[in-house]
Parts: sequence; structure tokens; C-alpha cells
Amino acid sequence: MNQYTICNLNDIIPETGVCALVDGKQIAIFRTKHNHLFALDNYDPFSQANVLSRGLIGGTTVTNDAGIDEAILYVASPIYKQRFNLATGQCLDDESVTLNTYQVALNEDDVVVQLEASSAKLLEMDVV
Amino acid sequence: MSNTTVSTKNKGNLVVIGNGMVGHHFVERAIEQGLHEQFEIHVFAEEDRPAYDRVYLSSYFEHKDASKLNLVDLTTYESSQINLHLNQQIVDIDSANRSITTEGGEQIEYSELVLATGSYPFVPPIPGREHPHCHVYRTIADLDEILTIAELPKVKKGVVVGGGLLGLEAAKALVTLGLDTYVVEFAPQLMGVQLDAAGGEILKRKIEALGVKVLTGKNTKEIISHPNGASDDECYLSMQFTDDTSLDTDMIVFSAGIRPQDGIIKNNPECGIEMGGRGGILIDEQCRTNAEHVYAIGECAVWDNKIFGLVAPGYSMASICAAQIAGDSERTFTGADMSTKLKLMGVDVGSIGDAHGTTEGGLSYLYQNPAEGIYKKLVTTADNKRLLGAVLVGDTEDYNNLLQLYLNDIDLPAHPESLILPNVEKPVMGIDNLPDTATICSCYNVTKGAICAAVENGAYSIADVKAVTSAGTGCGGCAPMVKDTLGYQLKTLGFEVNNDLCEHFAYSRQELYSLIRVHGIRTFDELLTEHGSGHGCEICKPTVASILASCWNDYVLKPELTPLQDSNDYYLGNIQKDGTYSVVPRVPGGEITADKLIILGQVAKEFNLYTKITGGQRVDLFGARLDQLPDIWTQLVQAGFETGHAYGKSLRTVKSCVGNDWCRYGVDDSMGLAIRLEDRYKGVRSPHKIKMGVSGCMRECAEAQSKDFGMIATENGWNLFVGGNGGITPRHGELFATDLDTDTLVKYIDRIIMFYIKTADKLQRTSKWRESLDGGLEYLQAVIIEDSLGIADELEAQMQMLVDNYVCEWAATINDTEKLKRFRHFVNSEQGDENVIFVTERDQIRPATDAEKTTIKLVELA
Ligand code: SRM
Ligand SMILES: Cc1cc2nc3c(=O)[nH]c(=O)nc-3n(C[C@H](O)[C@H](O)[C@H](O)COP(=O)(O)OP(=O)(O)OC[C@H]3O[C@@H](n4cnc5c(N)ncnc54)[C@H](O)[C@@H]3O)c2cc1C
Ligand code: SF4
Ligand code: FES
Repeated sequence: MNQYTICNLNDIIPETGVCALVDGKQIAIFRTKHNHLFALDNYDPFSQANVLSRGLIGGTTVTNDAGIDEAILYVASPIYKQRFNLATGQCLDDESVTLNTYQVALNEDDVVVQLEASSAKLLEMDVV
Repeated sequence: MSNTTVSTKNKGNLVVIGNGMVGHHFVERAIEQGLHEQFEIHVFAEEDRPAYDRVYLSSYFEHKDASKLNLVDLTTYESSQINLHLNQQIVDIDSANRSITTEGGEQIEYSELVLATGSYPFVPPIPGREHPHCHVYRTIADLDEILTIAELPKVKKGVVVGGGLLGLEAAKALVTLGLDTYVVEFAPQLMGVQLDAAGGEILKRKIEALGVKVLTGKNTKEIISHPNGASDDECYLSMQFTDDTSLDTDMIVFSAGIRPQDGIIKNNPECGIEMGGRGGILIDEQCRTNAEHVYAIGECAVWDNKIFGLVAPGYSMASICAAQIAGDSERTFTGADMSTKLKLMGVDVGSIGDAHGTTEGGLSYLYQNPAEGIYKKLVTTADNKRLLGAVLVGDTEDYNNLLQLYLNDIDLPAHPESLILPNVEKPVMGIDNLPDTATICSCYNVTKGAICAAVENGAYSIADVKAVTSAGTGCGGCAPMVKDTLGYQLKTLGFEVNNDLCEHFAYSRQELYSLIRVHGIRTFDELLTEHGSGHGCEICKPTVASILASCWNDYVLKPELTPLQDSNDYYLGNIQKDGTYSVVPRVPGGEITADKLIILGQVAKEFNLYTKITGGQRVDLFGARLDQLPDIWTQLVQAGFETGHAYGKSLRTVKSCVGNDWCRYGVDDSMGLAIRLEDRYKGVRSPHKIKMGVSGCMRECAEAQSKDFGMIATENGWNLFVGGNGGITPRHGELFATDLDTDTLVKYIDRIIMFYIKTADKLQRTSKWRESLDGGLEYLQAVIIEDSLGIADELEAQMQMLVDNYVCEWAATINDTEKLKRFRHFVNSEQGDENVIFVTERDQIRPATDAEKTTIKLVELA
């Protein structure tokens, strides 16, 4: 498991995102107005551009697999407006698309990203 | 020869002769009725391809791709076990023994036989018509032949014989092929079937204006061909007319009417199937011929002495025939309406019912506008109560309305002429006035009742209604009415036509505007807590940001407001497809000094930006990376440029002509006014973008009438036009006030913009807004000019406040280190985005395509 200290919390304006370069990967990190942090791929597969950190955050209700309605947060791509669940990376407008998400946490005032889970996934895929 | 290949097995044969538009429609309906389970279906087609869309035949000359016209899904034919025999002409019918014979002599027995042989083009018996440069216009094969000849280098001129609907379509095709085109018509007018003489004359003039020469009243007696083909000064052919004039041409397309394709019966009278007096196969209301188990449908069929040369009646016959064979004898064919609306060479033409006004005692009403080439005629009953017919040339906007009045025998308004006069509030046939039996889509014969039923069963969108009923999927002419019917039925079913901004605010934009103003709300969260719910989203955030800016003009980059702005407003540039931004400095009125032009060039060069003159009279620099924006703008601001708000829903440009400083016709200072207006309204946030134009005289070089606000100089002051739009739905601005002095003009514009900000829906341009105002232009004039609501002073004061608080957003940003922080791609690295890759085209950069990126990366790796 690798920890990367990205920036100070104050470097992210509440309710916006920034893009971080982590181990060669572009990761979009969002800070909500309630100071929750989310991290997912910065690459928008629909426009094929690295822009998701510049999208607007929105909230809506979706029905999860268990059939229960839950409130979620998403980011809407600034280019063609597709929405991605911030917590799961699932695209709300195209079931077949899911982005990688990453663990992000606060250490004091530092925003820290852990690349373990997802990079392992990536490695596995490379091997296959 | 004997019946070997196809014999009657345990299932009987259902044989269809002809796989044209109607024959194919029959097969589809037959499958729907399950006839493919009851019968073995065999379809014989003389042509070498499955059914295709003849209605759009002419488009073949544009795309030359026959597959685009195809109507048949062969997998459906296969899975329903339809046997389609292409290239197989049927030459004989033996109705006594119930069999048919193919060209090759093969015999096939049938249990049921459907004739769908269509029609063939009539070629008048003129000596010389067999020349290889003489054609007809019905099949793809015909079009291929026309193409081959038209492409011969010496072929420059083409004549269409026949000035009816199809003839004019053929003429259009010849124009498309680049030929010098003539139409020769025997009758004294064009489109004699659908139009009256005056309508025909207007049509003729319009078509001639498009470069086609029209000769009416000409009877061709002979076609002489030049023995050696065309030479430099001679055409291939010469047409000799009975009035001893002649016309040289390189090719001829005959389009002198159609005749039912009844050859099988005509050549085999012993089959006993009855024909009409002028040809065609006689059928009754059940589409049956006099021979048992033999039906005829489409253009080959004669019903009540009539032949129907359109697809819609043919489709009705096809579904009735399929129902009959399936045992449903209830459905019968009772004729069809032959009203038509079409665009011929760009000219709108419509004809309804008794176009010639031949009904006893009928009254005619006329409207004629020779300048714009518009002709409209109504024919009503003697008592003025019912519509009998109509002719429309040059403007068919009233067609759907009139057709419904005609088809449903609805009482006419007191002054029927108001239905065709321009610029009067027209009594519109609301969907609610129509009976359920009213046909909305004539291509697929879909009634109001059928659409309403589909909506009731869950088709809540246009797409669903189309999928379920097919309405609107043919010619598309009925689309507006299908939409209205959907809206009407949704309302009837109690669905609220929801005007909520989004799931977070149960208010419209106008309502939110009032809440914000009245309660003095200054932040999004305050509004959300007090009047909304949930988190907010990409719809409500920018809308509220725009309202807050319109109300208080707080600098859009204030910390509480920044997270509300979408990427364009947030980074003060328009995001491009690759994530870079464009830079558009303001150039008021399009006037720019040489020094400033040089600076633009220097900046573009230094940062390697793609440079283009925009449609708004200024310069756009594309391809700026996020981290470059502050440096670029620092240089621009230093040189005296301001932001052009190309990213904002706000004033874009005031386009201007050069005006009376230079132009010999200019009557006023259009440049001066344009610069004053652009300077006054720059930065004002509004429901959608606003564009203005100023022309120095009525020649209108600035295209002011296509702008939200258009000013045109007159000898006595400015004429103000409001609500113009280019874009998706172009609209000319309406003359709002005349001969204004500059101060009054500015006062009116102040008031209108603020009233627009107050009352428009989100992303509603002024054109749609003006159309949505109850009471129309007069209402707006009353509010603005006469101050009927008593709000004029308030509107002016609010605008003045916005004007006084203007700051250039870029000037404010480059001086603020906090704000500059966000202009970098990575929060934790100075690197740029390596996925932004340019290639060079015409000496400038453009984003690399995906394929190009791969090769570029490979080269770099190597
Ligand atoms: C740059 C320019 C094209 C050009 O190369 O000339 C342009 C570019 C864009 N236009 Fe435009 N329009 C440009 C002149 C026009 C014009 C012509 C004019 O203004 O005289 C029109 C028609 C006139 C009108 O608006 O009525 C025009 C009608 C549109 C529309 C359709 C609006 C409508 O009401 O239907 C859109 C879409 C929208 O706004 O929703 C649009 C949207 C856009 C956007 C913003 C699309 C986008 O979101 O990426 C383009 C990005 C601009 C950029 O990146 O800087 N653009 N656009 C022109 C900039 C003018 C300027 O200096 O500001
Ligand atoms: C250029 C053009 C534009 C048109 N525009 C419009 C329009 O805008 N709106 C409109 O409503 N209508 C329009 N029409 C008319 C429309 O195309 C016809 O009404 C429609 O095609 C009639 O269908 P059908 O099946 O009866 O005949 P067809 O489509 O002609 O099909 C008959 C088929 O039967 C085949 N056949 C004939 N005899 C035999 C035989 N003995 N054995 C085997 N096969 C045989 C023929 O080869 C043909 O393929 C247009 C027609 C043309 C040519
Ligand atoms: S609109 Fe009039 S003044 Fe302006 S350039 Fe054209 S002709 Fe000249
Ligand atoms: S009328 Fe042609 S598609 Fe409906």
C-alpha cells in the first residue's frame, strides 16, 4: 500500500475538485461543502480528455442493487455532461461505464491518497 | 413446364406480386397478422433489390448509396420465412386454376394472391423517344442510367417533360447534377392537378428564379437526334414542338404521369380479372378483385374509378388487405385524402381538397404577395362555414391547421380569410378541438385517438410515441402536431407539465429570481436551505449563480460563488474538446487598432495558439492550457484588452457595419452606437447569451435583424428590432420602435434586458422569450414604452447598478494570487496534461485525433 500526500485541504475550494498526479496517474479529488473527500479517475471516457476534476458536483437519488433509494453525490463532466457517482465511479448515464475510485483521507490538514487497491487491480488486468 | 420448385405443401401459398413500397408494407402487416404461420409467403419482385423508399428516390443523386433507401430488414423476412424472389417478373395469372407463371415459365399455385405491381411512368408516343438519352424517373435503375448519361462530358443540358409534382422533383435532380435544366409542360401551368392557375404561376416564377427554365403550353411532336452525337455547338437532341419552335438538349427525362402496372392482366385477358376503363385493376372496399382470392393494392389498384398515386392510401390498402386475408372483414378501404404538402426545389407547396374551387357555389379567398412569392387560396362552402380546399405556395405554415379543418368538417371562424392572412393572430386549431378520429400522421394513418391511447399506455415521450404508433416516422411533416398531441394527452392524464428548475428546487427560474430579489438572498446555500432541498446540481448551481450575478453583480469569482460556475465561467474561457480553453478578448463593435491586432498576433505566436476570426467580429485564440491562461491574459490586459465573455451567458458582441464615417450610404454612426452599447452591457449576466447588431442604413450589412437586439439607422433616428435569433431556430427580430434618439434607445434596451432577466426561463433566448409572452409584441411594447406595469424606473435603476459595478473578470483575476492558484492542471505538480497533443494543419495547431495520438506516442517511445 502506497500513501501519497497530495496537498493541503485548503488548496481545494469546498464543493470543487482538483487534479493530482499520483504515481503517473491523473486522479480527480473532490472536496464537498461538508468537507467529504472523493477521488476517482480524472479521465473522462466520453470526451477522452482529462477534465473531470473541473466538473460540477451534484446530488441525486438512485436506487441501489438492494432496491433501496439512496442519496448520492456525483460529478458532471464539463464537456458532455455525463455524471459519475463520486463514491463508486459508476456512470449514471451509461450503465456500462465505471471509473476507478481511490481511497482518499485527511491526515491532519493533508489530503492523502492510497493507491493500493486500484493499482493492484490494474496490475491484475495487465497480467491477464 | 410444370410446377416443380414451389409447390403447394401442407400450408397454402400466399403470393405477393411486386415488392415495392406497398407490397413490402403488406408483408409487414401480414407478419403482424400471423399470416406467415398460416401460409407459405412468396414475394415476386421484378426489380433486382428488395423494396426501397421511392419517396426519397431523389436523395440518391446526393449520396449515391442505394442502401440508404432500403426498406426491408432481410432478417425479419428470413425469421418469418418470407420467400423473396428477386429478379422474377410474373407474366401470367390463371385465376381458374389459381396459379401464376414467372418469366422463366415456372408455375406457382396460390391460395391467396395479392397484386402490388405499382405503376410505370407514362411516356407520350413521340417519335424519337427511344434514344438512349431519353429516360424515366421511377426506379434506382432509372437513376443509374440518368447518372451515366449526365456524367458524359458533352452533356450539359437536360429537359424534363412534365411539370407535375414528380417532374419538378426530377428537374431538381438535374440541377443537382449540374445540368442546365428545362421543364417542358403541355398544360398552360405547372402542377395542374394540385394548384390553380395563379398558384401555378407563382410557383413557376419561384422555380425560374432558381435557374430552371420553364416552358408551358408546349407539345412535343418529335425528338430529332444528331447523328454524330453532340459537337461543340450542337446538343445530342432537338425537341420539335407543334408550334414550330424547338429546344436543343442533351438528355430528356419523361415525367408525364403514371399508369397502373396492369400488364399481366392486359396481356392475359383470359384470366378474367376486371380492369378499369383507363387501365388499372378494379377492387372493392375489401381490396378484392372480381376473381376469388385475388386482391390488388397500391398504385396498380383502381377503387371507385380512382387511382391513388401516394404511399399513404397504398399503405391503408395493404393493412386492410392483410386484415381481410386474416379473416377480419370489418376493415374496409373507403378512399383517401389526396392533400399534399411538399417542398419542391426549396419552394413550399401545399394543396388541400378542392384546390380548383370547382364545387358548386364555393367561395374563394385569396392572399397574394408577389414580392415574397407567396400565394394562398381558401375555398369554402357558400355559407362560409366549411373548408372545401386550399392552395398554398411559398408558405405552408398554415397547412396542418387547414387540413384538420378540412378533414374534420370543423366550423370555420367568422372571417375565414384570417386563416391565411400574415401577421394576424390566427385562430389555431388546438388539439383539444379535434375529434379522436382526426388523422394526425397521414403517412401511417395514425389518429389523435391512437396517439392518446399510446400515451395512456405509457408512451410519455416523443420517442416512445414514435416507436409505438409509427406516427412521425414517414415524411415527418406531422411532427409538430404529434408533439402537441402528446402534450395535450399528458395534461389530460393529469401530468403536470413540470416547470421545476431541477430536483432541488420546486420553482421555475422566474420564481427563483423573485425569491432572490425579494428576500435579498446572496448565496446558493442560503437559497437551498430556505427554498430548496438536497445538495444542488449542475443545473441549479449555474442558474442560481447567473441570477445572483444579474441581481447583485457580485464578481463571479467570489469564493462562495465560484463552486457554482460551470467550467467556462470558473476558468473564464470556453472549454474545448480536448480540455484546453479558448481566449476571446472583447473587440467592441469589431473595431480594432493595428497595434492591438499586432498584440493579438504576438500573444498567439508566443503561446502557439490557433487563431480564427469568429462569427462575432473578433478573434478567438484556441488551444490554451489551463496553466497558460493567466500569462496570456496578463499580456492582453496590459495591452488594454478586456474579457469578451465568450464563456458567459451574457452580452457577446455588438456586431456593426462601418457606418457613416466611411460608407457612402451610411445615415448614422453605427460604430459609435455599437461601441457604446457593448461597453454598457458587457458582463451583465442573463438567462442566455445576448447578441446585438447595428447597421448604418437599411442595407443592413450588420445583419442586425437576426440579433436579440438590432438597430438600424434611418434619416430620423434608430429603428429597434427585438427578439432576433440565428442558431438552431432562426427568427427575424420584430420592429419594436422606430426613429428613436440614442438616449431613448438605450433606455428601452435597459428596460427590455432587465425585464427579460426577470421573466425568462433558464437558457431561453430573447426570441423564445418574446414568443412566450402572453399578449405578444404589443404587451412588451406596453410594458417598456408605456410602462403599463409601473416598473420602468426600477428596471432602469437595476440596470444602472449592474453597469456601475462592472469589473473585467480577467483583470481582477490576474491580480489575485489566491485565485491564480487554480489555473494549473495538477494541484501537486507543475507538469502539464500529457494527453493534450496538437498536430499542425494549414500552418496552425489543432488537437490530435486518437489515432494520431497513438502514432505520436509510438514515435516518442521509439
Ligand atoms: C467562436 C464562434 C464560432 C466561430 O469560430 O466564429 C462560436 C463558437 C461557439 N458557439 Fe456559437 N460561436 C460563434 C458565433 C455564433 C453565431 C454568429 C453570431 O453571433 O453572429 C451564432 C448564431 C447567432 C445567434 O446566436 O443567434 C452562434 C450560435 C450558437 C448557438 C445556438 C444559439 C441558439 O439560440 O440557437 C450555440 C449553442 C448555445 O448557445 O446553446 C453556440 C455555442 C457556441 C459554443 C459556445 C459551443 C460550446 O459550448 O463549445 C462555441 C464555443 C466558443 C469558444 O470556444 O470560444 N453558438 N454562434 C463564434 C463566436 C462569436 C464571438 O465572437 O463571440
Ligand atoms: C420520385 C418519386 C417521388 C415520390 N414522392 C412521393 C411523395 O412525396 N409522397 C407520396 O406519397 N408518394 C410519392 N411517390 C409515389 C410513391 O412512391 C408510390 O405511391 C409508391 O411507391 C407506390 O407503391 P407501390 O408498391 O404501389 O408501387 P411501387 O413502389 O412502384 O412497387 C411496385 C413494384 O412491383 C414490381 N412489379 C411490377 N410488375 C411486376 C411483375 N409483373 N412481377 C414482379 N414485380 C412486378 C415493380 O418492379 C415495383 O418494384 C413518389 C414516387 C416517385 C417515383
Ligand atoms: S449598412 Fe449601410 S452604412 Fe452600413 S455598411 Fe451597409 S450600406 Fe454602409
Ligand atoms: S405525416 Fe408523414 S410522418 Fe406523419
